[in-house]
Amino acid sequence: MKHASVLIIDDNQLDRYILSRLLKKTGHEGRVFEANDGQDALDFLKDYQARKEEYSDDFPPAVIFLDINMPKIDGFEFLEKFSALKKDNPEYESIVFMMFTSSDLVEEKEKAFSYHFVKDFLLKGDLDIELLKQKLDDFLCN
Amino acid sequence: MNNGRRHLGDILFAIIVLLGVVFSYAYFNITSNIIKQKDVSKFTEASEKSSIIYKNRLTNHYSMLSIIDNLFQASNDITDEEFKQFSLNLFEKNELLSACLVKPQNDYIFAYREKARQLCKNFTYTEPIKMFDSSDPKLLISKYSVSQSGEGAYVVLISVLSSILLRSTEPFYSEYFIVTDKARKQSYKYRFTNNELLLSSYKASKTELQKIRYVLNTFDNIEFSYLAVLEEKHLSLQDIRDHRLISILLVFLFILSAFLVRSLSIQKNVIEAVVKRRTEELSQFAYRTSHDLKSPLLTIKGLSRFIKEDIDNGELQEAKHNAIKILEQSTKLENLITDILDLTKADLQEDVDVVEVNVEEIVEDIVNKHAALIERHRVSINVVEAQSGMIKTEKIRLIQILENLITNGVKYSNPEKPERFVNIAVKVDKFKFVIIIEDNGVGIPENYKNDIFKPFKRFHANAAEGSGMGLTIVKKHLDNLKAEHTIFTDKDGTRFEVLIPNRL
Repeated sequence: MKHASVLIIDDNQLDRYILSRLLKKTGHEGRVFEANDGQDALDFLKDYQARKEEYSDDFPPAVIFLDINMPKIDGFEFLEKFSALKKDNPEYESIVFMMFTSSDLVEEKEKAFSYHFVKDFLLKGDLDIELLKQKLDDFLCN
Repeated sequence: MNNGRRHLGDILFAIIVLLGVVFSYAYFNITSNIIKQKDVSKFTEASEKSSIIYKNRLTNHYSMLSIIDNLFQASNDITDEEFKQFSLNLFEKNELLSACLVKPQNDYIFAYREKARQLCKNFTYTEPIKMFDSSDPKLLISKYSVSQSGEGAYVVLISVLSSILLRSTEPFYSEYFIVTDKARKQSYKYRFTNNELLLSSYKASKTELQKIRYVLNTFDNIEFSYLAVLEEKHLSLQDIRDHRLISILLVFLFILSAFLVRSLSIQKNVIEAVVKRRTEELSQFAYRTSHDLKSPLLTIKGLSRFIKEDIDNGELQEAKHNAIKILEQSTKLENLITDILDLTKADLQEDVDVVEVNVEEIVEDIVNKHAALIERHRVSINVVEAQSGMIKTEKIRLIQILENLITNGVKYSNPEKPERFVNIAVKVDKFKFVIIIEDNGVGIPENYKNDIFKPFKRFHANAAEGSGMGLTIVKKHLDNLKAEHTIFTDKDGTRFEVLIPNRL
């Protein structure tokens, strides 16, 4: 897991910075991909072969951190479109999602967990090195 | 819930209409029955009076009656010449008419009419009797009665009488007679009813009609009383018509009130729907507001932790870098709060002063206020068509509309283009003014056009400045100003046209 690559999908550049810095602090050494919003991420993921050639073992990312409130395609729309994309690309089966959002609404949490590949729901305000490390470790053990 | 109510409204509507129709029908029936009964009694009274008058006047002619009876009975025995002579005498004295009135019973009249018909058949005259002078109205009766070929004239004469008599006892009786003048190949249609005497004629000239009127006018007294009856009847007919009108009005009134009830219930539904929608909007707004206010705060929180860490580790440069980011986030938060306040005001402000405005001055103020933003994006703001006439409007709203549209043009300018601009044009007339704000920025993606006025909607992730409230605020102000707008947008830029009433 230490070397696994991750993708952060968030329209807020500072939040991406915060998360990637935290990841570094946990000892994560893998590549960190960043996407501005859902559309950006879909563009990134849609051509598996091209990306595989470009990034070899770093692609596909093992974990995707996904924000909910974004312009254009938001988090939920992305989950829906990703589900469709996954059907044509079995290589994406292994990707797990961690929601990374400032929303603590129960409905949104439930909606996110209705996708089996969403494994966690992280609140931006609560996230620190310890918590992130623990989450990633949990995921590693699983 | 709504459907149920609408359904109830429809049922209510149907019941009221039905009640209205039933009520009006009953009203009309009752009133016209009362009138009819009144009419019957009036007619009976009138006819009794008439009969007395006639009887008195005709007493002198009783002696003649037996002669007529005899004549009719013996009609087969007398010669044509004798009958002609006798009938001429009678007609000159108007006595046949009198004879018919003596006993105003239906059977009697019909019997006489039948006799007259028989007589006419028997004594057919092939040419008019020359001795009659048509200038004398009295003689016309005779002429029509006797001289014409066929049964027509006699029938008319007797029928007029009989129908007048019948009229007095049967208020709704009517009778038609067709009289054919074989010599002239013309037909006259006579309709005698209890409430009107209708003389219609086809192919009949004016003079012919006048002659017939002469015939009727000769009935001196009869005519008089007949007209009296007619007038009364006419009046009550008018009454019936009035009541019919009232009934129809009543039905309309009921339908109208039913419509009113129905529209009120629909209106209630509409209001409820609006309230529901506004409540949903409000809760959505509250959610989005709290989320969007929280979001930069959480970023500040995260960055603050980093600064602490950086200072602990002696990485002061990194700490400074993060502090600057905190500053940016705070500004973003501040702008967002200002926007939310503006939006709330845009909705709540009612009595905004209408003052004279100068669009160029407003644009200048906006450029000064957002100089840093404009400088950062290197966008030129130009008034390409200046205001040519006086504009009066709610200045505060206009400022916010222009500020949001112009800064949008700046924020969403296309960095790939060497020349970036926001052009403003103003066209003014007495009733309205149009402001066109055009940029060569990145435009609004086609599939998001429907959402552009929704709060917190942003279509470009890169432009971090936007709160997603700008166009929502613009829309609120436009609605309040009763303004219209048109948007043209594609990847080469956006053109906003707003048409605002000029309140001179």
